[in-house]
Amino acid sequence: MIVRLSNFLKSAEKKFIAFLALVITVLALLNVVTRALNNALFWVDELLIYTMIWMVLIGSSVMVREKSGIATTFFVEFLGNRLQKLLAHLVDAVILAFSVVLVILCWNWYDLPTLIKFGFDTQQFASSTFNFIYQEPTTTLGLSKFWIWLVVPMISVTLSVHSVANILESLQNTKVESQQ
Amino acid sequence: MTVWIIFFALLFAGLPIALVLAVSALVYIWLSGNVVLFLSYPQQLFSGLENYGLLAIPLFMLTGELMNKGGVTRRLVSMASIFVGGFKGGLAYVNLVANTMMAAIIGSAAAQISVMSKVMVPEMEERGYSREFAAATTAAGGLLSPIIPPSMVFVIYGVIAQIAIGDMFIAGIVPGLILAVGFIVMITILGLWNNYPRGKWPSLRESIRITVAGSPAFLIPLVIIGGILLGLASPTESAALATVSAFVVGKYIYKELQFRDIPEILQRTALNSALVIFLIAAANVFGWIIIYEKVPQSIAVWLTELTSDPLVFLLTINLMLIGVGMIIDAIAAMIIIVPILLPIATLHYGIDPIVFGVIICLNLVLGLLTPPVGAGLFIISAMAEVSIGAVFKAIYPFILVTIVVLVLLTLQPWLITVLL
Repeated sequence: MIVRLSNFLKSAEKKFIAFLALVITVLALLNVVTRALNNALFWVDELLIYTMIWMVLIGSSVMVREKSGIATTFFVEFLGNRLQKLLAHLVDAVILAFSVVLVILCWNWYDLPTLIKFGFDTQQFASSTFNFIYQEPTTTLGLSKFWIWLVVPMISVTLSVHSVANILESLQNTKVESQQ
Repeated sequence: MTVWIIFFALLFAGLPIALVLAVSALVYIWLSGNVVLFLSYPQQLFSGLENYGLLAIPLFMLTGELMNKGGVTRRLVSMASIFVGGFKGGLAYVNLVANTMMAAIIGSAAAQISVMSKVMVPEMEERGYSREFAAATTAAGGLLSPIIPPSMVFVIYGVIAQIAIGDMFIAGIVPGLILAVGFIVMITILGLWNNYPRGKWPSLRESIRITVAGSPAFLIPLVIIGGILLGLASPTESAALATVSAFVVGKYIYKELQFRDIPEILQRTALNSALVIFLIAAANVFGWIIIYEKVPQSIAVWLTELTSDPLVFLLTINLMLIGVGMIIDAIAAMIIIVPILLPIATLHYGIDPIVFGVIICLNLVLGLLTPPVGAGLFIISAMAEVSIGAVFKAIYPFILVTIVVLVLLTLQPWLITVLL
């Protein structure tokens, strides 16, 4: 169930980041052209940067699922087969722990219950919590920045799903191997 | 202290390095009781990437992918054969010259080695070179990629060190050419020793045909380097222009690039850039440890006791980094090490940050070709189907050349800043 959800998420994420890569290319070109015509669009720079960050953070979630991140395997390769497997499980567990902590940190950061308590009054929210998340504007896009930051809680959730799926899969594999 | 034990334990347990950094930062906050940082942790992950210069990475990666699919590589190789193809060991020179041209398009050694090995290794083997030597020459040529602009490691160094990326690019041109010449000299020596087959000069008519076919491809590196060198375009802008020209050349001039290839190309670009750039996001939270624990200060005390001579300092660092580059991936190593060493280099030893950047980048990319974790070594041995040991045996003369160039640049740093 979770493995299937994770696979579905992964393929959606991959399509989305490919689309973002296209957006980046088009915007960068738009920037070059408008600047050459001395008519630069002031909002493109900021939008470009945010698009890239979304692409990178969502891409990192795919990376965890595909286990394609850059890692140091030099020492692991010296270990015996069983120890290697044990370490692989440990690594999976650390990733899951990290993802869950990130979910909690994001939950505290966005602090929806308090926001609701103040009836979505961001002013009151900020002055009583000293959390200025809802106060920060984007520089040129005319949007509150918490919308842009939403990618972080989003990947904290997908990371959690992916890391649970990774653990389930590797447990499954170990079971199959021990039966053989 | 505890945090460092955890850091190294996770690193050597094989956790992806980006997550090693991110997790260590969390552990550090927890141990130090500075819990207020927890609130800004997610935001810090995001804000570490708010940098316009980083955009050059996906754009240059896309250019590389497009050129690869668009049949540009092969034509650049033919172009190179006009200049050096007829000498003794001709194809080995062709390999290096083509690699130099490719280095001006592709920003990553790993990408370049995998592209070039497909073209060059079979061809060299067919003409009577040993497969090991063909693989070694190709992998050595790949080292030019991160030094000759556009270079991904330079973009990342520029972002971490807060230096104009364009300046880093310009600084890389002369060292890159010196390295290329060094490799060529090494091939000449090896050629005299091993009696390499003599190449064939193309006929005049053939040369004209190759030049006409190759010039659109050749234009792309010219646009990139020229734009940056003359200050016409920022690195990000020239990357955008390069992407368009690679697309136009591949799709409409060589007609080898298909629209249906594009989604896959974009996906690979996105994933590969995420792989690298996410490290920077993680490094940003990890930076808390370095700052709050005053890591540069304590290392500086230790180093300045050791020596006050900038030269000795640089040579020590070189030695140390060659060791680090052997175990940790070059870009990851740079992201961890630069924030620690750069303040020491500039404040205590008065070293120009650009000089320092070129030297440590060259140093760390050398790790791509050294066992046990040289990514370049693995790629070439997989692509060319030769054992890692055999490639390494053929490659160490080139590693020697790189070390000599490294020492030369350390002793004569004006070579790095001469074009600036």
